[in-house]
Amino acid sequence: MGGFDFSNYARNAALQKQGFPQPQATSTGTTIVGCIFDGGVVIAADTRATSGEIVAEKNCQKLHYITPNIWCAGAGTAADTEFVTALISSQLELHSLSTGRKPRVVTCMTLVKQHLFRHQGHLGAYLVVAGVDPTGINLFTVHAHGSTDKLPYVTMGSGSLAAMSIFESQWQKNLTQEDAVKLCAEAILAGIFNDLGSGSNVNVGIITAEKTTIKRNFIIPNERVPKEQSYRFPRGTTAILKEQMISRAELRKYITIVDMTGKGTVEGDAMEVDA
Amino acid sequence: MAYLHTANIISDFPPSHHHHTSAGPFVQHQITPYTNNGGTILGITGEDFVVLAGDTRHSEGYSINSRTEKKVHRLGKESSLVLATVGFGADALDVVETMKRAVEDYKFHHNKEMSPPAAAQLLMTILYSNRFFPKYAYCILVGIHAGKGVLYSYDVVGSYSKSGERRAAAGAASDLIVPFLDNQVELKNQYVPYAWEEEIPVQPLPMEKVRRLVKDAFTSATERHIQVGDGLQIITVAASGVGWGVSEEMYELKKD
Amino acid sequence: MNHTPENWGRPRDDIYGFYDKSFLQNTGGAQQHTTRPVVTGTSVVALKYNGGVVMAADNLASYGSLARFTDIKRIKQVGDHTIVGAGGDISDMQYLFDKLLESVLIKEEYQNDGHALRAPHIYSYLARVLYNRRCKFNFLWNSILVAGYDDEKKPFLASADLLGTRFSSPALASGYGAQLAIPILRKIAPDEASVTKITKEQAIEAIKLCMKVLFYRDARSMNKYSLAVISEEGVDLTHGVALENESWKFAETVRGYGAQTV
Repeated sequence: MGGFDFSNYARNAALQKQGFPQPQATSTGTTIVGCIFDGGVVIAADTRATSGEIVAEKNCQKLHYITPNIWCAGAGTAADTEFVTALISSQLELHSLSTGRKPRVVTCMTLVKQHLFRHQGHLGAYLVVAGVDPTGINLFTVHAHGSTDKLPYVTMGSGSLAAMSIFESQWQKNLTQEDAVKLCAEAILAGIFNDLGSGSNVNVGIITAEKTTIKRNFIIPNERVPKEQSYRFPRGTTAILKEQMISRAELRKYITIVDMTGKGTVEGDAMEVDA
Repeated sequence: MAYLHTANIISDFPPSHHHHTSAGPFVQHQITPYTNNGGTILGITGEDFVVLAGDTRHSEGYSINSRTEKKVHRLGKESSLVLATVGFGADALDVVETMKRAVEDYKFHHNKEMSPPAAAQLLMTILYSNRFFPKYAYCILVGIHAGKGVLYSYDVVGSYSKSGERRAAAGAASDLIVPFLDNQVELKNQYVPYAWEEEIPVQPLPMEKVRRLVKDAFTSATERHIQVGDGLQIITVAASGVGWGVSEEMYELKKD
Repeated sequence: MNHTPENWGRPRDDIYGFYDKSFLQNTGGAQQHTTRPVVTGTSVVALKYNGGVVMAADNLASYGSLARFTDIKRIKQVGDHTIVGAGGDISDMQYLFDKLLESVLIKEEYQNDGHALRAPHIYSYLARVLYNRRCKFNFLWNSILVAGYDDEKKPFLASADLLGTRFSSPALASGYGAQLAIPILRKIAPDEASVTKITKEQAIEAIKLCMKVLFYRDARSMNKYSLAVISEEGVDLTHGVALENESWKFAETVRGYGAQTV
């Protein structure tokens, strides 16, 4: 039968009611922004990924490739942003090949929103979709439930208000590329320093009709100071509870590597083993 | 492997005091009398001194309230007692103020300073007297007693070890710091090289080494815990002759 | 038989039949405390400068999503040396301002001992009242900012909320201000040292900018506010300041929200 199946949702709810905890995924915490300028669009992101209060990744990439001229910044559940962007990237590539045209940003945005709407918010992907195509410069946001927005400057994630405070106080019409990059970086920095879910570095992506430039670690404002002392332990500090020796000859019982390049099989003796 | 835990940023945002619990057709607003203001405290004793430190970030939800709120408090101008509290900021400050008053009253009544063992037991009494509406404040109390650095640490309802402890950590990043202290202060899992069965004997650490460990513990916690950062307040109480000296060092931590 | 207090003095059900309690608003227990704010005020923002503190709060009192009252004063001058700004429940705020603080001031004046309560004293008092009420599970549903200029000629600024949580910083804001105004204000005043370089004019300009950003993005805000400056000269408190220099330029090019282009 047609329609979309939500029976797994009912099962999960029933399990949760019985006290079986739902697995929880890594969240990107996140400040992400986008801003159009005369000639293109800039997107930017911080690089902190969190799992609860713990920093899971200090320098992760939240700018996702869709096509050479379309990129997404992702907030929310890390796995969902990763897979949704990869899925739509693949669909757009195939669509582009079958139509023989360059992919468009609206197409990307529509595919993403329809996919997310189908899943009724259970995919926690919050995206900024940006790109330049034959129709012009485009910038959208897509929420996990499938709603979209089209504005000259946008923010998303836990640091979205901090970032928006920068846009609302500094944005002006007809920005140059340089000013747009500066403004986006400033918005991300506001998230990094005022929102606990965001941190570390600023990544920037600039998309124009000619080319796309991704600047990883455009700003590194949070370098760790050197540690006060070394924590190298002298050799032999760790206790040996049990010792088992396996001779090189014996190793063949467990592993055999055969060279199939046509030069004949290599004897096990030639296999390299860590001393 | 344990599953990672997440906070759904959008639906939990902005973080609010009250939680909505659905009961039939009515939505009832509920308020909890507690909040978590983050931060971490850490204390290490030496032979004739004790170091007590805490970060200065005060937060709620994903917001930073202040970058300069101190968590380590001297309990009297003439006293060697120093108390650090972490947890719910209002309760933590209330416990500190109650202790400060008690130490002052003791001086007026007996014309001498309250001893650390006496203060330790008093703190237990104060915390336990709120057994059924606990002060959500994790405490570490230190001082100089008989020329030695002493340290006591408590749970929120007043449980503590009368004989004191060599080191303690509490608050947001205590889970990250305690294993580090186990290894570096108690020398757990360290053996005399190539003498496989023989553990490295635990000895009191020199003051400079303790300060280094404290800084490294906090810079590391800042790297991996979102509620730790901004500044580090390190208070050292050192015995000198029959008295003691108290010094404070402020150290910058990352602000992201 | 039901012994709970709300049944005290009522006819017994087993003798007289079921008692119709429908006229009672409260049927859940003996005494009900404020469990939620009703008429509310939004953010209060404040910034220290090299000679005092600037504070602002808009004049709106909301009843849920209804903009109910549009001329509410949420900043109060307390004596000659202190200002207090409040957000949250308006009736609780007016109780704090008109009942508690007024009687504190009258008592202090009666002493006539040449001593006056200053911002840190007012702050300690208010934070303690809030904390005591939370300990009785009977919250005063507010978050307040207290500002002053102390005897050592240093600006004073501190915050307290319904839980009794206390903290201080060169720039403070409650409600949505904590999300939208603080990032702007912290760029100007990242730490206490930077406060000495901020002039009164710069501080006022920054606070006005924050009120504009809050009006753009806080759906429970309005474009008319109270602005207060406290310095050595005393308190300069103006109600009904109109928001200036709004810009809606971004809207000119907006066409739809999705695939639509015209």
